[in-house]
Amino acid sequence: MKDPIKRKKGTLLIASFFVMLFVGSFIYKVLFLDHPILSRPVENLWTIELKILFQGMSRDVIVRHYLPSDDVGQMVLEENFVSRNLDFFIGKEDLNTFVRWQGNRLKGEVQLFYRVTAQIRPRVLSLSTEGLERKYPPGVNQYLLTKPEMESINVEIQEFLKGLVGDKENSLEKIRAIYDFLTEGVKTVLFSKDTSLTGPIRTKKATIAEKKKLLIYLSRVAGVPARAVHGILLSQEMKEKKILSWAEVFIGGKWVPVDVENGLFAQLPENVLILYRGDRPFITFSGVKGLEYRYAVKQEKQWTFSLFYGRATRVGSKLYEWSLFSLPVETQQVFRVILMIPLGGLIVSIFRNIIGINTFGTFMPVLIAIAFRNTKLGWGLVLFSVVIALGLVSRWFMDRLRLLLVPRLSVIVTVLVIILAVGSLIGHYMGIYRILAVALFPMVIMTMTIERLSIILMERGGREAITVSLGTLLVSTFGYLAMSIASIQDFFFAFPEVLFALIGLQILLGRYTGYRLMEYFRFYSFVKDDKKG
Amino acid sequence: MWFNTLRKLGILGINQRNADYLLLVNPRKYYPLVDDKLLSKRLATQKGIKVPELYGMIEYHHQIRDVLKRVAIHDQFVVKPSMGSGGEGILVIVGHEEDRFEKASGETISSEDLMHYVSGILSGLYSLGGQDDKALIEYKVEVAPIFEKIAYQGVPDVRVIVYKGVPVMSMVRLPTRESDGKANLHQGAVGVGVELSEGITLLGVHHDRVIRRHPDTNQPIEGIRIPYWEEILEIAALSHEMTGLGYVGVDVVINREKGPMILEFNARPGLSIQIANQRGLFPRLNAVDGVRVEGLTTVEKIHLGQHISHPQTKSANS
Repeated sequence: MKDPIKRKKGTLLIASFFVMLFVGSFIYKVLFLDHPILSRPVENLWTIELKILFQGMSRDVIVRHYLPSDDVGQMVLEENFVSRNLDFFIGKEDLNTFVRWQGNRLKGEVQLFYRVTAQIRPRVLSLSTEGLERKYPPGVNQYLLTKPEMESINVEIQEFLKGLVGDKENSLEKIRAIYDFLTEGVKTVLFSKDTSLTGPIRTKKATIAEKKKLLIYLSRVAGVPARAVHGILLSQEMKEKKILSWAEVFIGGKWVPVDVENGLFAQLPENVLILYRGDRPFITFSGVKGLEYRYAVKQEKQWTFSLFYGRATRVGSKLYEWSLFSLPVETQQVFRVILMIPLGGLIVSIFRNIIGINTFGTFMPVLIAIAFRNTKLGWGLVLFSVVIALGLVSRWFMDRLRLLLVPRLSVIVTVLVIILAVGSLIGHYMGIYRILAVALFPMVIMTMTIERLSIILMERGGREAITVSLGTLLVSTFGYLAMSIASIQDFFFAFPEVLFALIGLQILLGRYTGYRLMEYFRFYSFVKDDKKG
Repeated sequence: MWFNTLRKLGILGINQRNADYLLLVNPRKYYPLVDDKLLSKRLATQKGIKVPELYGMIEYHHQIRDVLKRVAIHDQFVVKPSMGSGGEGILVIVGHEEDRFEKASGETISSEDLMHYVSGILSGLYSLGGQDDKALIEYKVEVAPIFEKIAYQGVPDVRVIVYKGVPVMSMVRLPTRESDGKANLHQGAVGVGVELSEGITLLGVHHDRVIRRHPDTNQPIEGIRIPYWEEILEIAALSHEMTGLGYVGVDVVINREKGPMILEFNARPGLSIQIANQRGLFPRLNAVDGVRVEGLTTVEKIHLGQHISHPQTKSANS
């Protein structure tokens, strides 16, 4: 016999080696690859699907539209471009990103799809009040320009502004005054007779579009950079879907949103995905007729892990290629369950070797726990009990018939199938669909349970059989509960190296030579006597 | 503290038995020798140790009629599965005339019933996992007179735990009404501890509880001297060589006239024997490990076992 202490040290070494394998890989992924530790739902994740439809006229086609990009409070996570007969090119223009779809001599109806997933974060705007700005950073100055052909009306506007803004030096106060004038001093109408830029000043009536245009113009003339912004309202309920637009003015070194349509000053409408800036239309095209577009907005329920791997795919990371997330979705589902089996094994080991609860076979409780996934715990327990009861009854019955083992088991399985069929029918007609799930309870597992049960019944008697049945139920229940915790499943799936840690723990358990909890009860007479003496 | 008590008393737990003893000294390849009673019987016979005489062995269904006809020259016999465990599937015939066979319970069955019963054994009705089995027909052991009045039905046997050929602990297993004549503790039989030096019974254990009287016959179970004790220990000591197992439980029955016979071996003997003896196994196993047992003779091994289980007795003798 080898030295037990040496042996113990050896196991400890091997076990810690396996645990360290996991710890090392885990730390590396979390610290160096920014892998999230827990899978949590990602808030405010939205998918926008844009669909463009048009008729080809056997001419070369160009369709160009803007794309959202990373911006204050928004992050683009995934984009898809789908078209059967057009190529696409992505380009930059000033601050904006756009896509140009190109096709040759297209005929008939053509469809384009663009899909984007973006995460929206709360946009907090801290407005600085010191407002005297003489110089603007380069790139901002262009938003002070007014179009040259409007020089004549500039005079009129300057006159008007003098009255409105007076000698206010502070940008914020200037814009506030303009904003107040447009929202309170000008009545909103659907059509305006005077369509000139200065019309609203004279008639005190304007359409929304005119107000927006005028806000930018007035700001620029007042010496505050201003520009138009366009975006999409992220709301699933919204029926009429159009591109939103508002203005941004440059105050205190920051672009501050001002929306005369919705009455928001220095405050962005919530849940907006910014598309682009500037005066151009969202979509331009040539060589087509009857072009129309619509988009659908959907709030996504995604988790940090899939998001992480989603982005890893975009950059073509090796981590993604070698992760379980790269498997086909159905296989992923299978693996989510398979990865739980070692955990179930660990739970069985703990219950058997440390607590001392007997079960049918070693992995029977794990298999039963997996079967519980289909039926859910309540029905699973009911069904399992039915199986046990059936086993006990059949023993009594078959003992009288003196049937051989295999035919006897076959009879039990047959009876079981009949019960399942009848139960499913009853469930169906009574509308209790949970019962139907019972049919999913794997027959093989049930048959094996019965076989184990009958062996224990023969070898150890009914009393032991009931004890072992209860033990199996207990361990299966705990196994099921542990294995069905979604965050544990997610963790195992994202960090499959945790299995190494499980091997380490199992090795330790395998060398556990201490007493089982139940043995304290079994050898109670000693403990009792020891206390007396 | 209560959780220290077991360790202090040297109680061997299941985990420790498996990890520190069974896994180390019981090579898996020898398990079939002890799981199959026919093979164990041959092992014992080769060593010149008595076993219940084998009247006949049935392996195939077509042999059943012939073999039963052949064994019918004996008034009494036992039919048992070769690979059964826990005393399951054992049929005791205490007498027969023409077509009627009388069971130990007094009930009679027809020869047709008996043939069907044997056929069940062959099909694995009583074997582990339902694999095909052989049926053994053997001599029915006559209960030794000393046990006749204590035991309720069935045949009591003596279980000895043997570690590296040294008998370290022993008990008598008495069948009860509850155990249905079987000598298996978890089926409700009573285990009575036996001190090793002279073979005198100690306390009893029934379902892990300490008892002093047989639950059915109400006879006291303490202080009985087991006959043929030296011979039993010798058989026990030899069972290490016979089976190749370093940690083995050997079950010996005492026949009224023919003395001790090996009934079977157990490669994973239970731990309740410690309750019946009110002693832990661990210090004794440890003591054996502290001695070079390889070169010892059988007698020396027996003495070693007696010495480590009763150190004070030994020192009084010497």
